[in-house]
Amino acid sequence: MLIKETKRSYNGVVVPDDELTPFERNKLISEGKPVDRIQCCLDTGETMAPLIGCGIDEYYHSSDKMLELEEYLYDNFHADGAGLSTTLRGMAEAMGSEIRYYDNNIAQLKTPALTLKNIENARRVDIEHDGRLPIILDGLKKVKSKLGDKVPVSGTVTGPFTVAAMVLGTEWLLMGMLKCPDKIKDLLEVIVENNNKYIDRLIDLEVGIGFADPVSSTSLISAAQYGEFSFPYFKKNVDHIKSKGRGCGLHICGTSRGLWEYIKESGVGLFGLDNVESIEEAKEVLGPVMAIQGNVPPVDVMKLGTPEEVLESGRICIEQGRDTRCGFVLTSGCQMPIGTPEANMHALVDAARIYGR
Amino acid sequence: MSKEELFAKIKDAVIEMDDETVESLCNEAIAENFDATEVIREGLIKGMDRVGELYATGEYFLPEVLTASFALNAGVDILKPYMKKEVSTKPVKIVIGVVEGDTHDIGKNLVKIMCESAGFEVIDLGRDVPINEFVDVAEKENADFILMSTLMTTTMPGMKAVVDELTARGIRDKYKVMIGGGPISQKFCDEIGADAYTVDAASCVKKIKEIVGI
Repeated sequence: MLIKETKRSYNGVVVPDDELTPFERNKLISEGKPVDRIQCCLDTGETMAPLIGCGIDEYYHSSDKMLELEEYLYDNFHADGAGLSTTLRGMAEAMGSEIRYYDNNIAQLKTPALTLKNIENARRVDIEHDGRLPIILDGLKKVKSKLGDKVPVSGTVTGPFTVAAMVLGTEWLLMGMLKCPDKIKDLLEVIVENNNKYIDRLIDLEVGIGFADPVSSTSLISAAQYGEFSFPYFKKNVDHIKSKGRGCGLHICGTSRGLWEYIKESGVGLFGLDNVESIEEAKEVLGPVMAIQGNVPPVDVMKLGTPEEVLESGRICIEQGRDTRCGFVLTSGCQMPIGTPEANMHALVDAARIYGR
Repeated sequence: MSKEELFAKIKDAVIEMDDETVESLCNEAIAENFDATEVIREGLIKGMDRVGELYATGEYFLPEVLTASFALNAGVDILKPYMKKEVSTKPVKIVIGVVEGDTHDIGKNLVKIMCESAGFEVIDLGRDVPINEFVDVAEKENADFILMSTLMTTTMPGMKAVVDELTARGIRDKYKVMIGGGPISQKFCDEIGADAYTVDAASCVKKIKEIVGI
């Protein structure tokens, strides 16, 4: 199906129309057939709530607002994915952490659910009732039923190690790895169980599954610590998904190069890299076993740059990534900040339309 | 145990991140009537210096640095009541905090620890710090540096507001303003007119030393 764009142009170059819906495009790609252009996803979420005139606090607590935003994003940008995230704190909140919400800012961890002293009290969640999980699942159900025939819909789950950081407080998790490693591992087992329960709901809703695991970045921990405290538990979630015949993707913010040998073995089908890492290197190392997604700088380019700079940055990413064996998806290196100009979001998808044919 | 042996053991215990050993060795130092300030300088801080080096070379990561600083603080808590007030040359004075709207303070804490271990005097405003508080405290304390961090893109404008506030009060040149944190870049630093951006805690200390010429 042809999607008419508003004939935007950049220095005389008119943006070509899409010839397929994101849903059609994704289906053909999964069948190994040719498509009109490479895929491009906008890394959105709560930071985009102001686009529909919605306070961020309200967005977090309303499945209708979540749907409204996804519809707005799809109708305006026709990017290749829609979906909702548990956010980095969603599962931790369900496990008892206290979260502080703001009207004009991303929510933050206020009081962790556990300390190193009572870590054995880790709560097994009730998906139907705890925290915002039921709201997010309701939102996903609505997004899937409204947009599911036009665009792939997915739910984002938080990696077990990052959930642990939000349950204990990051500093205490990091110190706990050295002071009481066995207790930390017991906690991670409970988190794996909780995540799997949530994952089962995503599978029931027939939406895609992605993971975000920023605290696993080698900006914070060593590759060896990742191998001992993060990877085995993440792998249990991935194995669970694969046992149900499904696949998933992973995004790690910040540096991750030291972890790629692990990630190669994880079974994920897609890896989204931060803009501090190189697409060309990822193409070599990870590209033979998974698709690569990345990595226009979210702050310097997406928020602070001009549309022309976004287009150029997108062009470079496409040039570096497009021949990745398992596929390449253009996106920003991380979630786009509040206040990212819509013209820049258009420019990112337009980069795929112009240079990704 | 001689003083030197004890200091070496304290240093090693900090490097080994062993808070219990640090505590018992510091108690021993007090029992031996060693000068508390010297124990901190020659034992604890020497250990933390080495931890900083290990971090800079990638042998230690954040978990080790945090745990070592936890051990260092356990030692300082024991020694503090025994410290003699001494008059020294004016140390480099730093006001540090996480800008308003953000409560992520691991990065800020790390910079604080590294600065203190380098011998700078650090006034920690904590996290979620209102714009005017940075300026008011810097004025009141006669500080040399204002250090700000944020992990969140939404709070980055707060850094610019601090620089603007200094300019508005006509005191911009009295302070060096340094910024850091996940989303911060040199480009952003230039844009808001801050004096320096550094990528991590170790390079922050290096930069401060460079600026003051020590």
